[in-house]
Amino acid sequence: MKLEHKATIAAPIGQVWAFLMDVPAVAKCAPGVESVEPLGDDKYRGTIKVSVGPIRLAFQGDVSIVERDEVAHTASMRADAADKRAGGAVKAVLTMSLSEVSTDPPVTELRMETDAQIMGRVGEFGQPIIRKKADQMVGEFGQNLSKAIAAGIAK
Amino acid sequence: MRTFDYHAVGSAAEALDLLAQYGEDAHLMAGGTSLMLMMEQGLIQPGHVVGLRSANELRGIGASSGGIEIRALTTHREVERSSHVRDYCPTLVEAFERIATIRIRNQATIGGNLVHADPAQDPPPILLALDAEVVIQSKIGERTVPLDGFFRDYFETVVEEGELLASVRLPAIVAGTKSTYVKFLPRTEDDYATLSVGAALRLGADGSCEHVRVALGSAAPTPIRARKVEAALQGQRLTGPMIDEAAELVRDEVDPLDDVRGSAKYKREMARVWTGRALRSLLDGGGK
Amino acid sequence: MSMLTEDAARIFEAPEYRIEGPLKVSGRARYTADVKVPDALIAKFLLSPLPHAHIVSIDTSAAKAVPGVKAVLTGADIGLKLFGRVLYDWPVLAVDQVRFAGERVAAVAAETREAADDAIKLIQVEYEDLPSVFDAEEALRDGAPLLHPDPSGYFYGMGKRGDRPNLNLQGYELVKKGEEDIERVFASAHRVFEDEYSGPRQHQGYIEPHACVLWIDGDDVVHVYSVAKAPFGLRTQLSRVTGHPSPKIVVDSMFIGGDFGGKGNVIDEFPCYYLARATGRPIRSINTYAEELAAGAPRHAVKFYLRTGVDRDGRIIAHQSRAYFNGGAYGAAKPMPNCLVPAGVGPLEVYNVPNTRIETFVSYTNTVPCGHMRAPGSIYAGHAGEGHIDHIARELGMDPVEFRLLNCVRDGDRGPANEGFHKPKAVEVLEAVKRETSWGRPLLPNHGRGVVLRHRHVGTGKSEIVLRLLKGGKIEALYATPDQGSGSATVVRRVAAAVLSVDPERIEVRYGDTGEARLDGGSGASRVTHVVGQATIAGATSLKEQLQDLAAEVMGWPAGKVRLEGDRFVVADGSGEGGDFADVAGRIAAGGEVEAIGAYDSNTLSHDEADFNFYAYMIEVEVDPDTGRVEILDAVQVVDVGTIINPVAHQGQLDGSFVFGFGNAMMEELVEQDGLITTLSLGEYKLPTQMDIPPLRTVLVQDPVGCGPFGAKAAGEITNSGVAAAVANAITDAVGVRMKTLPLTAERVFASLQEQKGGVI
Ligand SMILES: Cc1cc2nc3c(=O)[nH]c(=O)nc-3n(C[C@H](O)[C@H](O)[C@H](O)COP(=O)(O)OP(=O)(O)OC[C@H]3O[C@@H](n4cnc5c(N)ncnc54)[C@H](O)[C@@H]3O)c2cc1C
Repeated sequence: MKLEHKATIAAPIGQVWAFLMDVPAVAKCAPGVESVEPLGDDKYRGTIKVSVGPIRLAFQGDVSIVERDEVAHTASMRADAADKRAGGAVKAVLTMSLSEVSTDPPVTELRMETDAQIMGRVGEFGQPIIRKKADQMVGEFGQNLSKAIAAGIAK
Repeated sequence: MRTFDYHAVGSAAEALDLLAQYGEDAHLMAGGTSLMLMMEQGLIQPGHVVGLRSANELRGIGASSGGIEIRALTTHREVERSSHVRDYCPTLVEAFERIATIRIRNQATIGGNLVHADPAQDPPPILLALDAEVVIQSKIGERTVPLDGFFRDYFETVVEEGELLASVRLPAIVAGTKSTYVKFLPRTEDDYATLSVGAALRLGADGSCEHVRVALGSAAPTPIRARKVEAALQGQRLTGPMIDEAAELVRDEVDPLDDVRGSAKYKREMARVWTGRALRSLLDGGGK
Repeated sequence: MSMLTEDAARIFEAPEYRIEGPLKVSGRARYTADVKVPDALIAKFLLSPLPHAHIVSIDTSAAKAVPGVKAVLTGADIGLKLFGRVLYDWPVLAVDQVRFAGERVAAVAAETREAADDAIKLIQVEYEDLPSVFDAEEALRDGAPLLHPDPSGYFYGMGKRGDRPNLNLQGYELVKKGEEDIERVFASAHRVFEDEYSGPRQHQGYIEPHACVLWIDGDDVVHVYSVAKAPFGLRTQLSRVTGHPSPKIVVDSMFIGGDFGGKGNVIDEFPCYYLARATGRPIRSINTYAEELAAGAPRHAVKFYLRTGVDRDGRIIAHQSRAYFNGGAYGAAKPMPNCLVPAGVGPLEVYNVPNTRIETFVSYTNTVPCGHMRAPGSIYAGHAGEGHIDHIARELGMDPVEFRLLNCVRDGDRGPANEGFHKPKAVEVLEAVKRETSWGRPLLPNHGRGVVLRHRHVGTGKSEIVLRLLKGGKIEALYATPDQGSGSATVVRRVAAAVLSVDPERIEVRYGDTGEARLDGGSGASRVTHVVGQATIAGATSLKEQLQDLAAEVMGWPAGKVRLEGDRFVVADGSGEGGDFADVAGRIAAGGEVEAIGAYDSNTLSHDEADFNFYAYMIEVEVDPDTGRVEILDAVQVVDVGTIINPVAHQGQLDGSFVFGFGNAMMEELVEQDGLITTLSLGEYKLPTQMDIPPLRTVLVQDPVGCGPFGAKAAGEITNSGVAAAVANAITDAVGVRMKTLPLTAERVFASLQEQKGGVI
């Protein structure tokens, strides 16, 4: 499943980029993220909780930055996580790219392309709802990111 | 499926005690038609299942301040066959007849249906169109909430941990009000709706729209009211073309899911078509 | 034998509910999942979540530690064991690599289902993604990932594997007829038409999931209760895969809970064998429906490219077709030579086309391996070919029935692959459409009618049956054709009774496993009535001769003069002597059972041309232009049939065919996204129910010229392949849009109508 999102952030591109490279900070913007620990080598381990009505899932897994291009301002992260209780797994590649909308006032556009696969038992349950839920989550993530960056600048 | 302890309770109070005792680890079970599927798939794995089937106080259909009250444990089939319900509003009977198959309707309950909160289910749109309220019970007491506002998200309602749904109340229907329920099933008769519309309409002596309700199923993450459509019609002297024009507004109110029953795009168009058709049939003297 | 004897006529005329019916409706019929064996362990499988990956490592230690778990096996434990029906290319458990999401990576045997489920979740597999290809045509492009770069080790059960222009092909076929340079013919054509048609994967929709119970006894005999509809075929495969000698394998598939092609391929028996070996215990495996839908062997998705040239009179002079079938990750589930889907040549199979060039491609892709489903491939060939024909007729301004009459095959003509027809009935069924249906009458707005002309071959093969006079005077018919619901036992009883000239009640049809009964080709491909029926005739004829001789002996009647007729032994010497069957047979049997073996091989047919049932549809629909919803108002199937052995069962097959085809046409689609099937329950993958079935009428065009017993033909998979095309053609007639993709959902019709209006939604 492929998802596309955009967010505009009132900050200069450099600052946004710097924030994006701080994986634990970025991860905290994802709704439901509980913990993020560095494993070294641009790799992190974490837990994310997702609920759809009475269904509560806790995905544990690793996130790593697989590509980064400081000049083009693009980076991609890969996440592999599994929920042991229900028996499901997620693989996702999130590609983020920044572009400068204006310098004064500083506005940066963040584009996120997510390519995710939901597998196993969890995947048997209404794929369309999972897609919608994932879409909501990435959307919220984008909004949280812009808020967090804005807050960081305000400080 | 994980093994679990099954507690058969005889009353709502007993059920609430067990919910208090086991918290998140306990799930209520009415007919079990949805709960068991989710447990079977391992999506929910409660350690305790609280079976409501013998809680007789949660069962039955009765009069309530001019309208009717349907208690939570009433099965779909009981609603469909009740003369009370038929006298109150035949459209409600028609809507319940469209749910799944007789086997499911004999087992599934109205309370389970509403709390399960799948946006594709049949009862919510017609209950919304009839201004239903639900009574939610907890150890502290009861609260009554309008059904409009009850649904939060996919499979999510305002019923909190430690609460149960006790009944559904429907207010008196003002004379002259007609209602209809349409379930659009382009694949097979035995399916969830690709789109459904519950609508109610009352015209004044001068032909103007005194009261209008339009609610849709399978059109968004929850069952929804089409308020823009309602607003465009309220107080107007209705004509067919005016209804078609108002029905166009529903496009902006829906947020459907892409699934095997239709793409979001298609469902948006069908929301328009069926909203228009439902209202036109009421204007043309159809409905019950 | 094609002349109906008096006995046969009398017996066949009476409608009869199937013999095994009471067992089924009372729950006494024993299906595989009902088999209870003491001490059985439950098997569960870990399926690959990825469509194409390298297996880096598998850690089963936590799974093995779960209480109640008796064995956890991976490809490393059992080695690379490949199974298949003709091409053995599918690993029992993956080794190093998985090629589709749903492939079995590990097998667990445990005391309870819960323990098995827990263990499955605890198996840790590290995968490394490999590039995938999901589309049949993309798989053939340069640079596509190769799924099977080195097939040299694959066993192929039909001699030498055919040439394949690309390693990503499971099979390839080019059939030509007439002019070598077909482009020259096209160049001379008055008009040339091109069309593209496609259809999705569809599931057979049997209600009984795949299941097996397997154990190895103290004498090292492997016992298998299976849902395999070809038990002897399974025995051969199991022996080849495991090395266990086939005489020491006994397969029992007595009752099968729905098949529709899906029980031709079985996959559980192989890993269960290894689990039984590893644990010394019986193993039970019952798939979930999610597993069935994700990793059964569904009908192939296909794309057809058709091109046809006609002359000034509307005669077809050249036809070219390319069919791309998406075979999935393995060719193992297919029983045909070179893993071909038999209907690849089929779009214009009922027409007399002098020049053809027909190519069939079956690709390997990283998707679920595909197999056979009722009249394999034919529904898509039908939808494509008959839509194309309809298109041409309309463009030429000809009535679609007249266009078909002009071009259809007649006696002596040969089909597009140069195949012959034994007494083809294309003209007769088209004439019946004109005579017996509303074709050509005026229509209301948004109503339309469609016709279709197709055929289906009568199946062929080999089978044997034992007929035995038992002590007490009953006659037993023992054979190994599993019952998957088609009612073959009743056919056997009626045919045997007709030949022997005894009351059918005297005959007890009994199913025997592979240890007891004789060779059988399995119940599939519309072969059973023909092949088993002819074997029954042979066996009954021989038994009758023996009984007549023995009757003379035990009764002291003149030798060579005794006839068994009308349920009596009579002496044909004018003496009027004779005796009731029961009395005389009882005396014969007192001296020992009398046995006759009936064997039949369809290669011994008296004519060279194959036998076919031709059929036509006339369907009227109404289309709701605002929603695209299509309602069938009238459906008539005109079917060319041979001798009818049991009217109830025969009509049941024809009605069932329509219903099956209706589901295929209107709603069935296994949705695949990035190689994963996402319709994982029968709530998502919808089959029609009784409430959906439109009015249906059957018109029979009957002539007892079939190759089956007493001139019977087939019945089971004829008209299902025509529904989609007839409805699609009716939609065109009603609202002008041509539906080239199946199923014919309301949304597709709606989108086509929007496109026709020039709007975009
Ligand atoms: C095959 C099939 C087809 C279906 N088709 C349709 C259809 O066409 N249209 C349609 O509308 N519906 C359909 N349904 C859904 C069906 O209507 C619901 O499953 C049913 O109404 C749920 O009721 P239940 O009593 O079985 O609930 P349960 O399965 O027992 O419970 C469902 C949920 O509600 C909770 N719950 C139950 N009762 C209460 C209560 N009193 N208070 C608080 N929480 C409670 C449970 O904890 C659980 O989370 C179908 C279901 C199936 C299985």
